[in-house]
Amino acid sequence: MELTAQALAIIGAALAAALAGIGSAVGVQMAGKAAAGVLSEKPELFGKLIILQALPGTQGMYGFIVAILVLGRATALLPDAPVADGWRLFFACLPIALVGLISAVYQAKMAVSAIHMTAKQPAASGRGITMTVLVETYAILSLLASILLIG
Amino acid sequence: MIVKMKKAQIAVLAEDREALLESLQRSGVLMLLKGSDDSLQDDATDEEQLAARTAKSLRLLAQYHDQDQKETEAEKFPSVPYDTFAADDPAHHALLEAIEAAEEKLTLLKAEAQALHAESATLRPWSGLEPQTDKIVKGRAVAYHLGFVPIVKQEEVRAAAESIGAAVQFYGTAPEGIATLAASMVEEDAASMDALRLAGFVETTLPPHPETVRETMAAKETRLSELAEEIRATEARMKEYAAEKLSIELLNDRTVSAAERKKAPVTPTASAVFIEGWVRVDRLEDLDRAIASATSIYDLELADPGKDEVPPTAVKNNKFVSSFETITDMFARPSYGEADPNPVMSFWYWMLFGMMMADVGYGIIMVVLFSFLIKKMHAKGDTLKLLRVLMYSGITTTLWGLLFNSYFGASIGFMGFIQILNPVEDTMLLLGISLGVGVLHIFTGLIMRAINNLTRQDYLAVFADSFSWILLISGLSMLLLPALVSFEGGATVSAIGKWIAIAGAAIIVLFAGRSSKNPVARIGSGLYALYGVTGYLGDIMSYSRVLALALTSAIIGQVMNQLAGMVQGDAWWGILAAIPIYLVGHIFNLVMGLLSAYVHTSRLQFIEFYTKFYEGAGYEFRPLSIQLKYIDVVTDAKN
Repeated sequence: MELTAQALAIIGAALAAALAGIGSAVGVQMAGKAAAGVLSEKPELFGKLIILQALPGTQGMYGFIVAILVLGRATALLPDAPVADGWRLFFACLPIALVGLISAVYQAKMAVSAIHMTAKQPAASGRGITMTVLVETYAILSLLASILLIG
Repeated sequence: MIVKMKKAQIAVLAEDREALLESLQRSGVLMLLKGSDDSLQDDATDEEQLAARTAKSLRLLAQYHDQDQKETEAEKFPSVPYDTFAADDPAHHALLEAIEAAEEKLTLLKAEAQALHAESATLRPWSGLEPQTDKIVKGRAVAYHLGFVPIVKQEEVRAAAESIGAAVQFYGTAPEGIATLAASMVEEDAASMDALRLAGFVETTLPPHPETVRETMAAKETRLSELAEEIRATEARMKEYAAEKLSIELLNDRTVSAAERKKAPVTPTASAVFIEGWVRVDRLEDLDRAIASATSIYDLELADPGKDEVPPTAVKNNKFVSSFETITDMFARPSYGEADPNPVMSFWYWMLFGMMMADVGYGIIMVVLFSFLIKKMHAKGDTLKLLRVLMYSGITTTLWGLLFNSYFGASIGFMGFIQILNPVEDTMLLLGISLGVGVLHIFTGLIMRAINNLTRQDYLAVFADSFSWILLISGLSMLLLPALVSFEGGATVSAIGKWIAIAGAAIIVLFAGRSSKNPVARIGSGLYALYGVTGYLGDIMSYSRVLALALTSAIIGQVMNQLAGMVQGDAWWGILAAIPIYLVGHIFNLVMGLLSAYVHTSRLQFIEFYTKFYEGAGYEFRPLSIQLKYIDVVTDAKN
């Protein structure tokens, strides 16, 4: 069976949504476990911790957006479009797919530390959030790279 | 604006001390200083213990709060006049003790009821047993034994008993098996018990009572219903107490405030006491008035902060700007000497937040929802400020939404507003705008740095550390712009930009290392400073997140509309099926968008903007004031 341009683009879109989604699911789970542990002792911190828990969740959304954008392009491809066009869309998906997967997990590790810091010093939660957001920079850059590569 | 401080030294007669502290606390104008080495703090252990007791009782009362009876607004957010707040009422203490006594009684009653329940449960299988339990012993002719027989072994035991001439009587079933009474002649006791045991009989004992099991259980039941009655009565009393919880709330807040006064550092001398503290220059009259209302014999001296003294930071801004102070305080409080970053920051935060959300529908919801929450929650302090930030940002969200022609993710031309920018189609243009906004934001930071240097009268720094970078970055932007967007005269702009950039770079190389005397080292560190341009480029690229988040919010909104549209179809009832999808989808997008915009706008302020000028080494101005946790307002507290 020969890979058509359209099939390649759709594989890419699926990877973007799936890998980034996996990263976020793992990340939100890690941060959520840490937050639940803290909440058992200090339920009043819920408002601060929920923000930290949600932070690794954005990568999944970025992957989803790229998937939607690529799907739009893929359906517009003609059946006899050159396979190279398909490869281009496929590779355009890779930045957010890979960086999304890995950065979500690492951001979650940072979030766990920030959650523990907030548990000891609730006033420092803003700094913890800021430090955790720094990790997301690279997910955002890869999202932009993907969007720009889709063209 | 950062408020100037004066150091106040107050001397009053020793006997006026309490009156003075109360008056100061009521007006909330003076932040007490630790004072000299011989200043003393009273022991506030009693007050702290009392406060802990009231807090515990309030938690307890919350359980007995009558759910059906809706609290009125006034009950939920009690407001009391100062005299009621301050006057210690013995009735409040009595109520606290009554609550504690009732709680203790409840614990005992419940423990007793639980024990009785457990005992009844063990007796229940034996309720058919006729002899009193203390009669079940080895008698003169017949020996009795109590025990359990597993249900499957019942027939076996019966057969074994018949074959050896013993008698067994079965009663109720317990988890251990069937309650069984076995009887045999005394002389055959050992042998028949062995046989029964072999068949499955397990011996047990019951506590000996001179009554039958049925009588014992009836007695326990009577006691249990007595207990239940008492528990009900006590709980009813608790409910009555819960209705009076305002007294305990008052007692709590009053006690915490009293503890605060006791811990005030005061320097005693033979006949007078000294109190030192910081006062805002705009509240000097209030301080005067507060002292004068406590005593007529006093001495007040005001002085400017000394060279090695660091006064606390209090900021004073209008309602809009002050809301955004909570964002700055989350990062760091401004130092006393520097320019207040909040007025500029608030504007940028407001704009950037709107750019990231950019939807008319969401913007209007934000304004309505957060205005409602502010009213409903009686929000105070940082919560109020945060809610206001979100409410104000709803306005910019709406404005940018108009620009992007985005209404809950859908594009509908509205009131003649045409689409000026489509984030999904004109991605590159919006990226350019995002980075351009970033450049302006960073320039604002550099101008703030210049202002700080101006107040320090370091004019060279204004030129070398702010002006130079503005030149370099604008020059580079002009140099690169024609390469990205082609327009008429692009080459000229590029050429001018080149020279501006070179001028900026030259200033940096020549002046950034001005602190070192050695000319070689000076140029060396100047070159190193020029390398910092990579940092600026990174900072500017960071504003691409504005595009990313605007896109995210737009695309997810569109996808939700598509999903709902698929369900809706053409049938008239489709809209009913689609409504939940619209609702859930847009609520999700709104919440995630708010979270992202909040954290990423904050990040742009903290990392990209504040690093350019902001020192942020201040500490909060926290005057001696009434401590309110449960009481919403003390109406004439004067602060």
